[in-house]
Amino acid sequence: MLIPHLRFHRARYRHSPGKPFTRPTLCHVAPGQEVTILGFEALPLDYQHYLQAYGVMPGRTVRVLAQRPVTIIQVEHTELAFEPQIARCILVKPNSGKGGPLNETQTPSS
Amino acid sequence: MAHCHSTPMPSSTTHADPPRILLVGNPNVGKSVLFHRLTGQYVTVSNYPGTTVEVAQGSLRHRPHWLVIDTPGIVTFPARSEDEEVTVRALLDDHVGAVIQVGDAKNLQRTLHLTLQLAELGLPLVLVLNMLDEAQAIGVELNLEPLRRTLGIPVVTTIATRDQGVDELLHALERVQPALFHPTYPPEIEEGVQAILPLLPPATISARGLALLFLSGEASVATWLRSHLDPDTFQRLEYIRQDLQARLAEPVASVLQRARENVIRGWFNQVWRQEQHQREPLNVRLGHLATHPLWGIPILALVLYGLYWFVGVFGAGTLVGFLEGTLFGQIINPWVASHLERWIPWPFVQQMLVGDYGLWTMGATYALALLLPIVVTFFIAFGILEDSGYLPRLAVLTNQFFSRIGLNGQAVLPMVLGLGCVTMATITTRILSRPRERILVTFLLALAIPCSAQLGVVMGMLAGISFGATLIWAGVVVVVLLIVGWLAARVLPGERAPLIVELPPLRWPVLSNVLIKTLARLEWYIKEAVPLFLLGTFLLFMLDWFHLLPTIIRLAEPVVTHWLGLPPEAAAAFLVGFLRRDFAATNLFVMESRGLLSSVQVVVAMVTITLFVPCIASVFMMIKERGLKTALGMLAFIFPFALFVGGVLYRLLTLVGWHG
Ligand SMILES: Nc1nc2c(ncn2[C@@H]2O[C@H](COP(=O)(O)OP(=O)(O)OP(=O)(O)O)[C@@H](O)[C@H]2O)c(=O)[nH]1
Ligand SMILES: [Mg+2]
Repeated sequence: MLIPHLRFHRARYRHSPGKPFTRPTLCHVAPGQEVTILGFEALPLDYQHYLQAYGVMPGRTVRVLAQRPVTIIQVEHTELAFEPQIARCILVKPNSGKGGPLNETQTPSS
Repeated sequence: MAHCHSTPMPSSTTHADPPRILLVGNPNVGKSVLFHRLTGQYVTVSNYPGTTVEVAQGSLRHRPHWLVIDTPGIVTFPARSEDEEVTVRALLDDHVGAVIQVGDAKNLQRTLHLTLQLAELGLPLVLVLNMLDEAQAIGVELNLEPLRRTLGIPVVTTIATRDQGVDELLHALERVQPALFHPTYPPEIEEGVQAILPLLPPATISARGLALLFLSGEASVATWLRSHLDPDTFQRLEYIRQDLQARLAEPVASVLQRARENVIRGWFNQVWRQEQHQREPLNVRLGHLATHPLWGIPILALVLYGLYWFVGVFGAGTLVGFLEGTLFGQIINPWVASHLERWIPWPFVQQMLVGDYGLWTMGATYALALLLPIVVTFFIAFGILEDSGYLPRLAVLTNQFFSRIGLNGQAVLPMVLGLGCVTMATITTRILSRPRERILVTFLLALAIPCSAQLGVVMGMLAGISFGATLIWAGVVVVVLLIVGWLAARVLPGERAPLIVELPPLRWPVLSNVLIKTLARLEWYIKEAVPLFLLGTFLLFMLDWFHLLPTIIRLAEPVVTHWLGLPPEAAAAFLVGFLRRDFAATNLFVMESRGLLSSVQVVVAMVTITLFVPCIASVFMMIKERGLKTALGMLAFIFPFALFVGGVLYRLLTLVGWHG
């Protein structure tokens, strides 16, 4: 499966633990990239609500700032840091538009 | 039964209970600064989320019949940690007359999500967009008219730190009213709300708001409802909620959030204009460096060295030397002693005030000359660090370390605060999201984190021996922290919670805030420590005067002398260590300066006293926050364990023939 415009974080891509790589998650995205959030997978509810409250929710665009020592993203004008095990539960797709704080992408449910 | 919720003021509000204005908002948006501006009363302000963990109240300037309440920041409903629950409970209180939502202007969407949630509560509402300076600095322009029209509430912008916009806010409070706008949710949810409405008890907040909070799984609201309803009715509510959840593919709270997002999406484009892409400001780049896996380490080393130099070298060395040696030792104390001896003929009183265990020569001198300079320099340095926004970045850097003891980097905040004062830090454990983490951190704080006063004395003593001595002490304490933490994490049921934390922008420390905060903490320290120092001294004096001290020293000999290898007189120090361990450390400090302790003995004594429980006040705080049983369990472990480690260390050091 070829995903346009998405640069992967190389180490994460190769060592992605568990099942073979199927769908890109936040944990695979190289720093500097902007991606659109698609949804959550197997993330405990309180974390899901917390992330959504900051704007990490389907349809929104976020920018990945770092992947080490933990994942750091920018959403609106806030920086959020969380462990890769959370980043692995956030499904994303590459950002097609230029990407302001709001991206008009529709929200396909995961 | 149906209830009318259209009046914002509850009928129970009488003139005796002034109406309350609640400051509510996301964490770290400036609620506490605004509280200070509105009431003239200072509460702690720091640049990290989770500074405020308890409500504070003060009367509104110029309108003293209104009470303003500062609350802990809340990310969203349902509440996720204990401090957020405090805010939910404050909202459920009977006397809430109005809510001021404080938001960060540069994070408008996040702010509006909370606005919609608060609007549903039906309380009179004002929206304050604070930190306008930072929004403008990144080229943001806000057109607020559409928001005011749609929401039907006053919307004002402020820069709380510069007192800008506060007058407008005061004016807005005159025409405060409940919001006009309420989002509509998918039919399943609206049906659930309709089913619940007739069952609800009367409340200050609207029935719809109450119903939605309950359906979204808000635990404090459920508790509140349970105590205001008969068990059958509450059970019916529970059924309705479970039934609704079963019909939805997603959690209720997520469905609600998505519906709000659709509303906000429409508004945002009308309100928000931003010039695109300026260069990244310096503080942003510096912030990224501070969490960089490579550059983060030298930056941390620099911060630690700065702290060490200011507190250890300047505070504990230069200032203490001057105050204790020169001011108190050569000028004040001889003068006091000579005058007292002339005026007061009774030896009992003389000895009590200026003797070996004199209230003045020991208690007051220790507290004012030895510890005050250390505590002052520490609080200043710490205030600067807190204001800079570095501490949450430390959580990122130390996450790996804390994950080994079943915690995450977020624990660094209470732990580092514990270096200032363990009692205050114990309250801060509320920001941790799970009970398991709160218990672990409370325990480790009591066991292995020395507070500033003690740290200063310990550093001063050990630096006098050798750098190696400091390393041994620090090494033992860190190893104990790791081993005990590792074991405790395995014993306690539950899983480790992964780190998730907001990193606020790095900001220049505000001088006035650092100074006010230092003064506030100092006042706290003096009120807390000085009486205990005097009490401890008085205790020692009485024991000495009635010749009981030798008996105690003899009784303690098996432990103090045979097990720990210390001179018998050290028993007196450990005795007062139950009151405050820094007092014990100071006693040992004086013993050392009289040449009564060898290098090995100093290290052993310092390790033992560090592992002791910090002070009486912290014990009370542990009981208050964690409950009597848990607190006693912790103490029952800590005392024998501290002595055990001390004894083992003594034997090890003797075995390898270490001499300092
Ligand atoms: N630039 C700027 N900084 C501000 C403004 N208002 C507050 N701050 C800073 O923001 C930080 C947080 O302020 P607080 O008042 O502690 O925030 P809070 O909302 O009470 O935070 P919590 O109690 O943690 O929820 C501090 O460093 C303040 O100096 C503002 O208008 N402009
Ligand atoms: Mg606050």
